Amino acid sequence: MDVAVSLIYNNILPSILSGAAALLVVFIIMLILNIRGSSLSSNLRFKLLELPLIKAFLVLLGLNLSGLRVSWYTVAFVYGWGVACFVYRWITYEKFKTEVFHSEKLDDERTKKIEYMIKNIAAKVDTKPPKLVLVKNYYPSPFVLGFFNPMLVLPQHLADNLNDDEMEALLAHEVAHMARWDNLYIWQAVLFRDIMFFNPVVQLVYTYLLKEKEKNCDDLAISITGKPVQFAEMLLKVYNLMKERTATKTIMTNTIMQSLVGSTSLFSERVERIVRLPKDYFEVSPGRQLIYYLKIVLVVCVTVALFSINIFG
Amino acid sequence: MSPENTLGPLEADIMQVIWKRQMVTVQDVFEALSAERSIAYNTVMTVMTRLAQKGILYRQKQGRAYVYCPTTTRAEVAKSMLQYVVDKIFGGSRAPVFSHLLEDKSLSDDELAYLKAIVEEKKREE
Repeated sequence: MDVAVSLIYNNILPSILSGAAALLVVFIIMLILNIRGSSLSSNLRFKLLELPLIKAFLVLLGLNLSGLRVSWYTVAFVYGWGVACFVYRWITYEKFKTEVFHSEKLDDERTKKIEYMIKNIAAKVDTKPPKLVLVKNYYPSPFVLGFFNPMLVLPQHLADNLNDDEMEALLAHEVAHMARWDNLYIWQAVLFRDIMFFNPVVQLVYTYLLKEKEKNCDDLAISITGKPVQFAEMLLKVYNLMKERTATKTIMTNTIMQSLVGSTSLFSERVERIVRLPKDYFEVSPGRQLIYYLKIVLVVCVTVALFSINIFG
Repeated sequence: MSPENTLGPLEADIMQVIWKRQMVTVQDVFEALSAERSIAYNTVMTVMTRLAQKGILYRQKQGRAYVYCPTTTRAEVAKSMLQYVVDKIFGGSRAPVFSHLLEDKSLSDDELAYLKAIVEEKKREE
């Protein structure tokens, strides 16, 4: 009982409060970053959003730069629960990977053409091209699977329906995920979320991270292709194909989906954002680079301050 | 819900009729559907038999014909199908180790039309 009370008052509550305070600071800094924002600084928002997660985790552990206070039960709780979450996630991941691995694949002229497109796109962002897996299985959306040797899984119906411009935009988005190591970052965020399941701030930050990740990849993809409108068109087309092909269409439209209509979906947010981006958003001028470096300094200072000052922990 | 228990487009349309009327024969569903599209009586019968095998419909013989009624509500099926899509395809909260292009939310027709309009407008501007 004493252990549980101590865990709540010394670790869990300070972790929630510290996470909330860090998130508040991050929101303020994000507002500053948005001033004269360009594609250069968009990635900084993603990096900033990771800070509340790390801060909440360190306070949960009783660790911070100004001191060390780790009790055996905190270690047991965090490590025991953390390892269990990690194993569960890994098994689920491996099962899904095996399913994709065993699905029927295509290897024809079109596959070679798409592989060539991927190679060109990867060269533009200076990253290793992912292995293309063109599958006959129906998946509504393409996806990147894996960390160090990722594969880009592309369902056949998308290869059948997208034109070259749309395919280029789609591949650029997926390669952007790889170039930014998104799967690794999100895997880490998921583990934090699992371990700190009791912390609403962590859940909130996780949602923001997912949104930011997609927007950052949109930015990178558009800077690769230089065609924002085609990118927005591709998103709409993939969405429409998904809607047409999903067997649940009729039912979902009439029931569950009605309740989702009111909420602003990330999808519409992304399309609107792409269309409304300023014309010079992707331009890289010396002035912009200077502002970007100043913003990096600001982010570094905030990071150090967040981990040095401990109000609640 | 397993992949075998998700509904295909025709199954979904048939279920719409059944959820509306609650108790139907194959003839009832055939008449309702054939008012909107060309469909064979045998197709309707086959699909309804399959739905009964899946456990989504309950059937009982009344006189010479079978009467079918739903074993589950529209919302329950939709919820489990959506969960299946979320879990299996999009990863949901269970398999986050991959990045995908679109999230698992849906838009209303109005919202979609609005997005199309702003993209078209931007295209014209360029």
